[in-house]
Amino acid sequence: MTAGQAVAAGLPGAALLWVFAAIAGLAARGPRVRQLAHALLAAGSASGLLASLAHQLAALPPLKLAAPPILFGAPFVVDRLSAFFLMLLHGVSLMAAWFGWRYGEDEAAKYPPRLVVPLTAVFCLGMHGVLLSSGAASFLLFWEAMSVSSFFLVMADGTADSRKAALLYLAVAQAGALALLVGIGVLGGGSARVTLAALGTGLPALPPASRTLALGLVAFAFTSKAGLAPFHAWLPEAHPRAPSQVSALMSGVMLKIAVYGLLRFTSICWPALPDGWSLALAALGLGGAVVAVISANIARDIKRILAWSSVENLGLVFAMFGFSALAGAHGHPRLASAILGAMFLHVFAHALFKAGLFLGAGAVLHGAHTAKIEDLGGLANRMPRLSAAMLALALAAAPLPPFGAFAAEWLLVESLLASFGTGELLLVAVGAVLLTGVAFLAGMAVFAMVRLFAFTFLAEPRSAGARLAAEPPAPLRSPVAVLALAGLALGVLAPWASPLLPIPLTRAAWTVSAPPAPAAARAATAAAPVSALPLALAAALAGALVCAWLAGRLLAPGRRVRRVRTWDCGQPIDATMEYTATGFSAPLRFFLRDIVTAEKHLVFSRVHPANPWITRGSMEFRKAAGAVERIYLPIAGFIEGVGARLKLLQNGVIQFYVALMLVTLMLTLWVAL
Amino acid sequence: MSPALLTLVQGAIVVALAPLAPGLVRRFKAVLQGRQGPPTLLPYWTIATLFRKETVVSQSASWVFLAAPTAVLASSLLAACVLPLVSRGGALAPLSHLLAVSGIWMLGSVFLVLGGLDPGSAFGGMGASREMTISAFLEPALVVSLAALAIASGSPAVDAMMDVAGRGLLLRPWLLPAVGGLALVALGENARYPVDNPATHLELTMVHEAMLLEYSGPHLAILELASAVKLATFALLLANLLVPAGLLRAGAGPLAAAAAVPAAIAKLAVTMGGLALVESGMAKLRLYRLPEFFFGALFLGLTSLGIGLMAGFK
Repeated sequence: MTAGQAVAAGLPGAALLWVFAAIAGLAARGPRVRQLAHALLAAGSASGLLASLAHQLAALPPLKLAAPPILFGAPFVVDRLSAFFLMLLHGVSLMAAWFGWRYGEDEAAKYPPRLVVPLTAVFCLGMHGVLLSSGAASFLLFWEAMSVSSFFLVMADGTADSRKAALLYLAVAQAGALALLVGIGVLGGGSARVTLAALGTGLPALPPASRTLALGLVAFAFTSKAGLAPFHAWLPEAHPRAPSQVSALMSGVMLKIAVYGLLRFTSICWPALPDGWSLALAALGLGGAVVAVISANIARDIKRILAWSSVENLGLVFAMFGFSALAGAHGHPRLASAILGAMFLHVFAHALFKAGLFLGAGAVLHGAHTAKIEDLGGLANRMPRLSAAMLALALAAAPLPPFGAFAAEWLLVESLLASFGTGELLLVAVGAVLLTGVAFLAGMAVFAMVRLFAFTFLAEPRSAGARLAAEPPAPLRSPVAVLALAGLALGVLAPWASPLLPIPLTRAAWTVSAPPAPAAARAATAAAPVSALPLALAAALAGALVCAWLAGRLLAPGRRVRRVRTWDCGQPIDATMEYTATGFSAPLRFFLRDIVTAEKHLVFSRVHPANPWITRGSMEFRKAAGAVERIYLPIAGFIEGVGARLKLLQNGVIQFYVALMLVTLMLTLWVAL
Repeated sequence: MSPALLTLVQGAIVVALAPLAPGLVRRFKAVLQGRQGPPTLLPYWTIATLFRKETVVSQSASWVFLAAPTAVLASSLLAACVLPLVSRGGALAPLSHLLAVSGIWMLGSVFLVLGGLDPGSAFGGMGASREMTISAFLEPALVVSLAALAIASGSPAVDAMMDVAGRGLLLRPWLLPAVGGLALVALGENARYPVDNPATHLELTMVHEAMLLEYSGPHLAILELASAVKLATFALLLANLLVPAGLLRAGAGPLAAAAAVPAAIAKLAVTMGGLALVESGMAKLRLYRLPEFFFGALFLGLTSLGIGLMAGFK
């Protein structure tokens, strides 16, 4: 079987297997059939993973898949860009199915499996379809399947909080889908059967206002789905609510589908993005990432911390994309492609470590019955294997060497330094701001990930649930370990990851000895092969670890170890005296108090109405208004106000209704003729 | 001498001289403060004694606590091998990339923090929280200061920055703020005044010591050695940025290698003298004043970077 045949069979096969998984999940009455459904999910993912890997490794040209149903109007096509994202989707969904096989049964009381299993299949199917669609109609259809199925998955546990989060998510997702529909309508001249590739052809004929409108709507649709500030408020509400394997799919893959959409549409319609848009993307991405990483240090639910970290990472991705577009528009294609390569590597690494962390959080939740970080602790003694995998994933997310995200950051910093050699003020200034911002984000992300790991796994347990927790069963632990190893492999072998990525990784070399004249500057950003430094660093780290270990062994041969209580000043200490996660990030909150403003409400009431001196006081302390209060609620209030006004039309007077119909008829005739 | 041997020789010299650094600074401080002070070589004896003691481990601690000292020492050792401290152009010199160096040091800080938190003591938690804050906020200052030096030397490797060190700094005076920023980073990263008080055992003021509180015996010896190596690394790096003389190159003979040891001791002595002056001349900053220190360091780096970029890197 050639690679082409494998792709042509594997991708539709994956979709078909997922359809069967959805049917089996719907029909299942007992655990046996549900496990069959999970097996079908996993088989579909494996088939798709192999097919997308075959497509990337064999460097195949864009392939048309089997003839599509008439409904979709345009064929399904897979190319390098979509195969990369398919690889992420199928890889993560394979791990999610493996995890869900056991997790779904154990948590059946909380998340009804008859809802979760079929919806997960539909959710994966939606993302699969978005990536393969070459027609606007099928793109929109699958986009909606993805949004709506994930909406139901967010409120799968049926609690009031989940329903609230899901409705917020639905509102943003539907606003985005509507914007996408209108944007495609404007670009495609109103036809629903237009192909995506044809959207760009009519563009020069459009008036500038329509072009800007379409660009704005499409950009809103994709950035709101990917959680770019200020459209991110739904993300930390919605992602933690879903079952953990679905959270892994949402954070690890669905956000990347939105990035894919933006890349696809910009490459078709705006190969040269206007500077203003690139700058706005870079600024919103970096600014949103800064806010998100600080929020990740304040959040007190492990899945919420991970969701904020996703906002941060996607912000960084958008900043990279914006800067790459800026460099491309200013005549530095090699610099642009080097940054784009770093961006794809970061997207890849983020899919691996974020899916792993969410699955690990699910395993913690499964064992300790709480995701509140203040109620956890002490799990490293109770779950040593899971804690080792989670430590690796937390270091990968930090991003620290020798993991994948660090290799991406390395390439990005090289490119930012190279941008200093271009001699163009705009690029140099944006590059300097990004360099500072990326370094700040790196420090804060380390803080957030150390806090996440340490207060989940170290010290004494702070609740009965954590105290009684035991090592999770292998089906919950193994996918986490596999993803941790994959992240490590990506970091070590990053220089050779090009065959898997949509564009090869390059390094923008830079020479800065000569004063950069415009012509010389072009030469300065010559493409260079990516150095093998990540591998060398990993090897050197391993060597240093062995040396340090040997030093400890050789210099202290006796090695008597006595176990005693933690030093307690004579007063036995317990878990209530430990540092908490909130206390851990207190200096950070204090130092950043201009950004993390908090509102303190003091309420005093008299105990006796005649006595003003004896009062009962209460204090409420909460984070000051964020995007929800400042942006979302005013918009919601405006829509509600308009709705209330429109109610005046419905006054029950039949003559008025007839008059309205007449006016509508006349207006229609006037517009149509 | 081959590049690989050069790296090994540098690592051996730095590790062997490292305990001298805290010994020297204590000695100088004692002299400045009119005390007799402990013997200069005391840290060697401390570490040797600790290696012979038994290990006491908290019942709350997990495998992370036991693994942390090894990881911290590995981070210090690797930084001591890749940076241009005693030699230049060693086999690992390409790894002195500014991001790699910051990543290596950050790994050490992370494991120190995890080890401090694991026994569940409030002291360890307090120290860990402060240490993580300091490391996180000094990260941008470190990267930006090194980036300023990188645009002058034309390479992101710290090894190549020796080209613009010494006389090069006088030709490019706009680099001096970046070196100052690095000096502030060095004070913060090594838990010295004005960020931390290395001599205290008063729990409300300590950062580094608080994290080591539950460690004993060989574990403590490894951590003491690791922090001495880190101090010596920063001291030699700063000294070399100002006076890059006496650095071994590939092809140097054993005689030159022998001569490099007194040169390194002299550099350590001068830097530690400066550190003793700083520590005797100023009070420790309150924790809540530290943002001024962090943003001061970042601002120094950004000043150099900004001027360098405006001047077209000349």
